[in-house]
Parts: sequence; C-alpha cells; structure tokens
Amino acid sequence: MNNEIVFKTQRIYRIILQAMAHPGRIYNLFKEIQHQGLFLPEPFMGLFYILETLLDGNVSFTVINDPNGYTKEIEIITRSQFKDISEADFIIIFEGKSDGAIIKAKKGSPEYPDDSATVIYTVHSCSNENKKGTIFLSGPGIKKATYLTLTGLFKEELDVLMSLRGDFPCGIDLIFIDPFGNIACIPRSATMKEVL
Amino acid sequence: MNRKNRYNFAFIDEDAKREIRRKILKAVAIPGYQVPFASRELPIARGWGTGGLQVTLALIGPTDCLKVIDQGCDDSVNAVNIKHFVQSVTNVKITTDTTKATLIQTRHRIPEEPMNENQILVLQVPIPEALRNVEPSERQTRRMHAEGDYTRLWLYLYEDIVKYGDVSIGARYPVLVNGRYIMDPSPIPRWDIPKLHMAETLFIFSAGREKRIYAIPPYTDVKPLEFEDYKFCVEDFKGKQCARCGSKGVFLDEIIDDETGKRIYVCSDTGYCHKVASKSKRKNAISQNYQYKTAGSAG
Repeated sequence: MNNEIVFKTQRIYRIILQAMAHPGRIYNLFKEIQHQGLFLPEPFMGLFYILETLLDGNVSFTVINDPNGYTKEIEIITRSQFKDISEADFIIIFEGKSDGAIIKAKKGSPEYPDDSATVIYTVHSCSNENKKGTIFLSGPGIKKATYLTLTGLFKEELDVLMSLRGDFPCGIDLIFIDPFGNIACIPRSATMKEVL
Repeated sequence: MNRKNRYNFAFIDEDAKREIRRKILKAVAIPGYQVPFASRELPIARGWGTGGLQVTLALIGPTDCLKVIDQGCDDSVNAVNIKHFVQSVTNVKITTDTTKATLIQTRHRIPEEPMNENQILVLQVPIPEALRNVEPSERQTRRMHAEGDYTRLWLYLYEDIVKYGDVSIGARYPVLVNGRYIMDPSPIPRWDIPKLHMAETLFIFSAGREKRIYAIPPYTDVKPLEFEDYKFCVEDFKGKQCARCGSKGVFLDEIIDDETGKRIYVCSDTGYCHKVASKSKRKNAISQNYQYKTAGSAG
C-alpha cells in the first residue's frame, strides 16, 4: 500500500483519538494533512478523511440526508457495506439532522456496550463559544467543564441526542466535522447539557 | 529489497490497524470497559507484550518518538526486543527520556516523570479481568460488569483483611473507573495507582493473549477500592533512597548483594534514574570546576 495513504490515515486517526479523549475540544484535520490521493468532495473532505480512516469491509454504514448521493462513493472508497440504521456501525448524517431516525441507532447491550454506532455529523462550524444553544460538557477527558457550539446542528436533533444519553454504558458516540476540517467528539461518557 | 520495505509500515496490515483503532475509540468512550478485539499473530509469542505491541503499531506514525520500558527498565530483554522490532518496521526515533517520547509502551510501570496531554501510554496486560480471582467464567464476569455487581470482589477484599489484616493484593490492585467499571490496572505496583487519577495522559491497556483493549481517558476519576476503615496505601519507601542517583519519593527496587547480604535500593525507572544521576554528576563537575577556579583566582 502507498505509504502516503498509510501515514495520512495514521495522522488523522491520532487527531480523532485526541478529539475522542478530550470531548468538546476542537482539533483540525487540515492543519497537518495535505490533500492526497483520491478526489474528495471539497465541503466534505474532512468527513471523507474520517471515513477512509475508520471504515473498511468489516464494518457497515448508513447515510442520512445524503445531498449528492455519496453512498456509492463511500462504498467504493471504504469497501464498507451499506446497512439499515438499526444495524449500521457508522451513521453519517448530513445537514445536521436525522429527523428522529437516530433513535434507531445501535446502542449496544449492557454486556457488550461497544457493539454500538458511531455517529458522524457534518455541521457548518464547530467552536468553543459559550452562548445560547451551546452544549455544556463535563466528564472523563474534560479538565474543567467545556462548551461546544455546533452551528448547523438542529435544536430538535440536539434534544434527541440528549434524550439518548441516560443509559450509560450503552449509547452512541458522536463525531462532528465542519467544512474547514474542524473536528470535535462527544463520547457517551460525557455529560451533555444545553446552555439555555 | 531491504528488511524495512518487506512489510507494511508498522508491520500489521491496514485493516488490522483499523480494527484496533476502532476498538481503541470505543475503549476511550467507555472508560474501564474491556473491548474485545481480534488479536493478531506477531513475531513474538503471546504473553510477551503482543497486546501492547499491536496498539503501539496501530498508533505509531513516522513522526513519533517511542519509549519502551519493562518494569521501569529501558534495557531489559522484553523492552529492547520490542524497541528493535518497532524501529525495524517503522524507522521511528527511539528514546529513553519520558519527556521526549510521544508514545510509551510499558510493562508493569508508569514512568516517574509526569506525562502530558500529547503523550499516550500503552500498557501491556497479562490478565485484563479484575474479577478473574473471584469468577472463572467470562460470561459471568461480563454479566457482573454489566450489572455493576461487584459484591464478590468486595467480599474477597474483606476476607483478605480478616485473614491477613490488610488487602494482600500488591500489583494489579483493582480500581473503579469513572464510578462505573472496576478495572485491572495491569500489574503496576500500588505506587503507580494514584498516577491514573485525573492524569493528563491517555492510558491504553491491551492484552494480546486475552484479546482485550481498555482505556482511561485523561482527567478521569480513578479510585482504588478501599474500605472506610481500611484505606488504600502505597508501598512504603520511607527513609530509603536510590543508591545510584539519590532520589527519594520514587518507586525503588530492592537489591540484595549476594556476597555481603547488604540491601540497597535503586530507582525502578532507569530513564529517570539516569537523568537524575547525570544531572547531579554535571552539577558536581560544575561545582568542582567553580571551586577550582575560585581557588585559582584567590591564589
């Protein structure tokens, strides 16, 4: 395999890992990664970097609100299988809303909570501002409480996501990516509150 | 074709790396929970650090700087072999300095020097299940973790106190992570347990033989199990210091001289010991040089 792709996915993974280990903290994928390899759609380049890094033939995915019919491209690039949302290991949600479909995502069982979905949202922007509608986060990985503002994530969607969080260790893990390559994660262990 | 080019970067194939990487993300998202993974064959035998090695190989990149220690020692057979192997398949920089390493693989110790947010500590784990002493069945321990049913482990600790007057577990002292999962912190000494609590670093534990990965993210609440009247305590090194570098307040190895029978203590963390020893040597040299110069100018 081309070492450039190997190094790129390694670098992206380390950024995702740091983001997952530090919920709410924003990291940038484009700072260290130069565009290489396959053609990737410009506004969703960060998303495709994540998919290239995490997906392969051993996992499945689903896409919600797919604006340009990316499902086939994801299948070709990652060799991953498209499945129904209730079975998918990765759920990709465009336009910041799933219209309630996210409720059906795999949340794992108390014995195997890891058998659950990782949900990737594309949003307009990620920032650490503290304002109305911001997400207040605390828990493992967070030194002091932190704020995460996600422009483009619908209020109704946020309400649904928060309603899904009462069942730890079962649950879903969230990754947010914007067109500028900013990435932030909210694992299920983090406590989420909306700033009113 | 040279040896380095014969294998994929970091030896294991990219699909295997992806699987391990996905499992690590789940482990980070559920602190203390043991995530099963498909442990691969490696050119070292299972039980010799293959779990830690697979995690290291899945994480490592060309810009990383690797440190490998075995019981705190940079130069033991296990550490040296792992370092040589990783270096031969990645060509990364190797160090013995904890502060310079970006990735540290360790067997049974956490380095003495504090680590930062940009570092990752990978621990080799022989027995990942903290409940194994009280329950041999994997299905049962999984149920116990799911239900948070840890009464048998508490009873085990209580019986230990009744029998021996204290908890007899030295290394592998069980901890409660994030108030939810009881976890085996690998056979690190009790001395290292407080370093897990609210640490800046990400800790990843991996057992190759048992095929389990688990993690403690940074700034996570990690508490050793203890009773109100029998508190957890670390090894006592009061009045003892390293015979080589003079350090106090570090984890020490006891060494008995075969001929004289005399007991001496040396730092378990050899990288730290070497750093302190060379600093004090340099300090002595500077002070001797200064004394020589002052004596010279006075004369």
